[in-house]
Amino acid sequence: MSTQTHQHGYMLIFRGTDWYKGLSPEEMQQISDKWMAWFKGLMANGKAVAGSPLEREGKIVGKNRVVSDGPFAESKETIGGYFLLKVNTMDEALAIAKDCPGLPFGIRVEVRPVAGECPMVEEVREAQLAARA
Amino acid sequence: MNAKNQYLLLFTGNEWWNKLSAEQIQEVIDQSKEWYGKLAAAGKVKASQALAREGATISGKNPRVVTDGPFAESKEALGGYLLLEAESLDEVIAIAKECPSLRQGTTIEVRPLSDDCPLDFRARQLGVKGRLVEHVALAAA
Repeated sequence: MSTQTHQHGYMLIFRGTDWYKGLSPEEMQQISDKWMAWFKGLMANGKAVAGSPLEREGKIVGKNRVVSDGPFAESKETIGGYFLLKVNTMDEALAIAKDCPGLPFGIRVEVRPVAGECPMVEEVREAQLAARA
Repeated sequence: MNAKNQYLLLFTGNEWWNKLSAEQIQEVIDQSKEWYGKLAAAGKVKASQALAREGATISGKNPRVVTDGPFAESKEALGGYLLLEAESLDEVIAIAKECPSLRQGTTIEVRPLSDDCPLDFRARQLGVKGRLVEHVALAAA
């Protein structure tokens, strides 16, 4: 496993919006309690800096400006939410991802190192700062 | 923190820049700078980051790595995101449609941030009253 460090942190992408279909309200309550405790713990110790669920609605904009409409179908690939982690190694990010309470039910967690700002974006910011100075 | 006016733009695309010449890439960069610069100047950009090509996917009851990167070859691979603050989904769609790299093959998924998790949505379908999850959305640092 990679121990390479990434100073910009890691993004956890939660994929799957069909995994809770067979669950009872009590089971869902249990998972959401666990999930909140997990997220709050990560925020409290500074390992998570942001996170949010996504609405089921939304649109996809592509080539020729074709727009597909949401709501997104319940599927294994659809992104349900994300966390941004402020940890320095892939191993630490993976260890956190493995604690995700949705995993036993079929959710998948994509762990991606943040590459930092796009160099293009940095340049735009600098140009704007220079223009203000 | 109200999540309602925040929208996540997720960029996917299978490394279209590999097919372009240096001049063509420069052109897309210049156009993209202009597009992004206007959004930033209007105060609509809350966060924006690119993702590295590497990474892993975790899955299963006994959680393990099921996919190892690199992710970039896949058409569905996420390359980066832009978190915007805007008045409506329509406004964000209009912004997304102006993104210069769409013509090169980038696809943008536009998703409103939510106060609800997907579990809550399902719980309402089952007739559960109230919310399972308290509000969890937090602004990107």
